[in-house]
Amino acid sequence: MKLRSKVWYHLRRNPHQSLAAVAVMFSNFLLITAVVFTLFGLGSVLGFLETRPEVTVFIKDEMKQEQIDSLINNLKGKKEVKEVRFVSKEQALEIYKQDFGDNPLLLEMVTAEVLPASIEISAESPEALKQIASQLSSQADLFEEIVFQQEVVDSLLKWTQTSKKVGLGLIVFLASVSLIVIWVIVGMKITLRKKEIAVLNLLGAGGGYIRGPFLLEGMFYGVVGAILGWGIITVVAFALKPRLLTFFQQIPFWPTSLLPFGLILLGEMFFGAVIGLLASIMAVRKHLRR
Amino acid sequence: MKIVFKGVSKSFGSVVALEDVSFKIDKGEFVFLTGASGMGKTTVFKIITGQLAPNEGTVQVDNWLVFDGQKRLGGKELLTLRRKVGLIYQDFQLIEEYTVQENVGLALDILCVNGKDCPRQIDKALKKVGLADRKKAFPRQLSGGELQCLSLARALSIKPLILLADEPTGNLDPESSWQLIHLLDKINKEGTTVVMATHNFDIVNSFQKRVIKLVKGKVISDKKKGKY
Repeated sequence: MKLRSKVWYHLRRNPHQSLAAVAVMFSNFLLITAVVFTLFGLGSVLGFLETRPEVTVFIKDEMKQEQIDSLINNLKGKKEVKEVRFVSKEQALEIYKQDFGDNPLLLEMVTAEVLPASIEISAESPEALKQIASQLSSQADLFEEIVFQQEVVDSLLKWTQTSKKVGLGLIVFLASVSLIVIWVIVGMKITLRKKEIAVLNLLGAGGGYIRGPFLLEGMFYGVVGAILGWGIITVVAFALKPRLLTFFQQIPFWPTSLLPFGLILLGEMFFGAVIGLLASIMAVRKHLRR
Repeated sequence: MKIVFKGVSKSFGSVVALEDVSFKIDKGEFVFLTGASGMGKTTVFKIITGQLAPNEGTVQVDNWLVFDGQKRLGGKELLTLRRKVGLIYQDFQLIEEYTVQENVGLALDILCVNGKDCPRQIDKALKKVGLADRKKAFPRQLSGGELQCLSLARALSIKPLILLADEPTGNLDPESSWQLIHLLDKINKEGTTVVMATHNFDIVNSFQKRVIKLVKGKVISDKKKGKY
């Protein structure tokens, strides 16, 4: 009998236990996949926000165009600066109109003259933004105001880090639950088959012949649970895709290709197989001591 | 394949199972191991197959030194020995969820017999014990005699050099018992060493084979053409 057939025979022998093991692995991987997808999405959101123009310099009216051009060129020359965008008084008015288009009173009171021109600067990293803001502060007399939303960036970073820690903690907890459940179920199966194992021993079956199917059985539970959990969450994610895209608008929350989905599936299958194998090894070592 | 016991003793706590047991069984012999229940017959078989280690003495099965007074045979060598020994028991030791042919095939599977040869060897073993037409049946669908024949077929499928039969007629009616004994005799005549533990004096007395008698773990008689 091939090893594959033996594993199938093991699964059929106690179908309720096999079903329980797959169900537990499935529900755990459902949550694990949801956490992984959420963390992946958060990573994309943070990545997007980190590169937005976070330092905005409002220019004084008396600043000459040559001075502005020199400042822009100086900023563009810095390697930590990703993008520099000049917003003229007229463009500022357009933005204002877009933001307050539904309030004619506010529109009436504002003209391009009263709005300051500005320079929006985005950087390669939040740390670089701090550096740029600090450098610009030394020329503060040229500007109306330097707006650097350090607190926003910091709290966003903090929040993302906390989410990652909570998510990883949850994954570790669910993995531990899976490990214990498979350990117990494989252990029960070994106990139920003690007589058969004794016969196999007497017939001269080696360790691999007796233990192999139990080890593969544990891996099977892990891999099947991972595929099912991933499958359901992926279907739900695709069903929610239009709403998510509307909610996040220009933030590239959704991956541009299907590769990340495939990589997450492969990673979870591997993770499931490792959990199943470890749990089975523990059960075999406890119940099949020579 | 010969079996040699030299000064073998085995006790379980204060209970002495075997005491200074010595005998030599030559290749191709048919030997009855007799004695009442609890006299050490099963312990002898368990020592031969390496399931138990004696406290003293040496045990040799063909070229394998199963126990040399200190060290017992283990690992791959023990597995190889077990694959040369056919075993049948009073309680059959069959796998209930396997069909007749799967039970026989299990022993061949362990031996890694080529998949193509397997069905042929299963058929041959089942034909020998008269179960060729019950291949698809499960053990629960067989009579006591048929179960023991299945157990024998499984043992024979690996072409054993020694056949150890531990009270094989214990659960059988007289007719089935005689059929089984005739089968064992036939197998012995084909060259397999047969050692049968029994307390069925009718069979022992009728067959006129070598009889080793155990009482309280000691060999009290060893006769070439013995009686119970």
